[in-house]
Amino acid sequence: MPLPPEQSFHAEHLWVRPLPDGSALVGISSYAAERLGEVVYVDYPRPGSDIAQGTAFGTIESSKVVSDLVAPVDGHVLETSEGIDQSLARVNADPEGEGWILRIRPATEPGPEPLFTAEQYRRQLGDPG
Amino acid sequence: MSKHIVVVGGGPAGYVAALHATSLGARATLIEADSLGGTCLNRGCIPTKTLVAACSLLEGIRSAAGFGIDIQGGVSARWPAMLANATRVVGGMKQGVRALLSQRGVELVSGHARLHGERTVHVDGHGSVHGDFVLLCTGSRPVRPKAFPFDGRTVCTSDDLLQWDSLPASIAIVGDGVIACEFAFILNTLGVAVTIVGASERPAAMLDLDISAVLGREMRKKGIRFLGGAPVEQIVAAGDGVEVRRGGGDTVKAERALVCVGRSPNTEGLQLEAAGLAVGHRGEIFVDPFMQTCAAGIYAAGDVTGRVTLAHAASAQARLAVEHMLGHAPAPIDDALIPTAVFTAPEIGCVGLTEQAARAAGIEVRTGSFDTRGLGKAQAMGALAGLTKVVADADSGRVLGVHIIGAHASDMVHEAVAAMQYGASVDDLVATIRAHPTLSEGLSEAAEDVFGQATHKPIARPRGERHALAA
Repeated sequence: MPLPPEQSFHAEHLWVRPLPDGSALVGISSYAAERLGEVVYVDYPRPGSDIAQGTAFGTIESSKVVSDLVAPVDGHVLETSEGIDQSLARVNADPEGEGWILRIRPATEPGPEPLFTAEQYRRQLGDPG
Repeated sequence: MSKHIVVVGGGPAGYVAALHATSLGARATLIEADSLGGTCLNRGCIPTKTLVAACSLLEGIRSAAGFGIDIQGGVSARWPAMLANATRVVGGMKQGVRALLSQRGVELVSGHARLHGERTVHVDGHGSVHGDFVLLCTGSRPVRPKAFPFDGRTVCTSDDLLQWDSLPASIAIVGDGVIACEFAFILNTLGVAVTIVGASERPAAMLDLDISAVLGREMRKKGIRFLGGAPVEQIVAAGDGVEVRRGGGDTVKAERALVCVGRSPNTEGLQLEAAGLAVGHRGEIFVDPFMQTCAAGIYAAGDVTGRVTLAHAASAQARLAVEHMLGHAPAPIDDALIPTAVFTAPEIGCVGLTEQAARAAGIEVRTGSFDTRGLGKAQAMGALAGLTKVVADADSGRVLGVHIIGAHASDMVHEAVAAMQYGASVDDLVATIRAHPTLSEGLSEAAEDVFGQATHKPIARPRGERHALAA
């Protein structure tokens, strides 16, 4: 199944959003960002490395917890937000938009695990809104 | 008449042996060719920990604003002054050792020693000393691979680094063990661009994987580059610096190279063959569990045995040797209960089996861990990075290993050492009440987590299952 054209979510709270040039952004959900609290460090993968759906590609560290960043899809890392001004603050301020973490080239087949629309994802979290 | 023990080497094995011998009523002669205190006091533990303390203070000052403290003006580290402080500390401690030896009546002889027949040692310029027993504690020195062009400055060992008059802008540290990692953090804090070039896939690979993972993350966080997985084949001078060439063809350029690839026992010149002693391929002297060599009345302790190259292990071995000489029937040392302290930032304290070693030995294990940032004290200190991990035997619940990375880990590990010494179970660790708020609470939580029931973590296993390890 190809990557859905809209932003879609993996059960481990990361999202993936295709860009017009064929690449895709990856980030954490607002739910995850809220649970984490203030993000103090992201341990990024190296550009040029591959990520595999359902497998940790790095960690995200807040003042409360260190969590694995679990890839929502298979892909190849093109760019990270490391070094981008205010990148950590953006993760907190706009996790599903400007606070992206990776830009990847998604695999043709993104992986066997299901991806959810924003509405499906939030319903799973028990969020009626 | 009291027994006479001739001790060769005045480091943490030798001088402790001499002191212990006199406390047990023996007469001791201590022969030292260089400087009392050995590598530990002169070129190792103490000067480097003085530098670590300076770096820790510097980091504290840099993060002062977060605690509501404004620092007016700039803060800078002066390397020569930092070394001078280390020299002052070392000097004071050396005086202390000398005073203790004098107070105990230890006869101190300065000179190179070599064995000269049965339980007799010849000291250059002093003649021969014959004892009832001889204890060899000549320590070790950094390995200096012949292929590397050592010049004491551009390509050097940790011994040379402590003589530098200035710091380089960049350094390639060859090796990925404890000493390499400690210097990586020291130099990084002082503004040197550090690249560790190691043969292992991860820093300090002898540590538990989870601890090494936190260490690796802290390195990346601080901008220490770690290039693992291929041994260094060549170091060559290049322009104003060096090129470190790895297997596989890639190269690291830096102003200087620090080589930390292990230590080699000091046995040359001892004339071991005069006493019929053989050495291993690294030059280490073989000993039995009581530190006896194959020659009657001759013992060895510390790094020269190649067993556990740690100062506290050397001291323990020396005490054991002396007690055995004097007929006190000591129990052999269980090497698994010798703690390791690593002074990275944050520091590390470990004892016993790693999860990986236990599994490799065919032991079914259960583990528990707790992130240091979950502790109130860590939050108050702003010392979030860290982890406490407990490795236990799944059947008996016996604690097999405790691994801590985080602030004060090197001090905290000793609770686990004592517990393991007395065969503690995970239940014993859980039942121990620790003061709040302290970093030691991490051990309570990690022990509870073995049952999936850490108080300050999401519950992983319901209470109904009870604290049954084998469940």
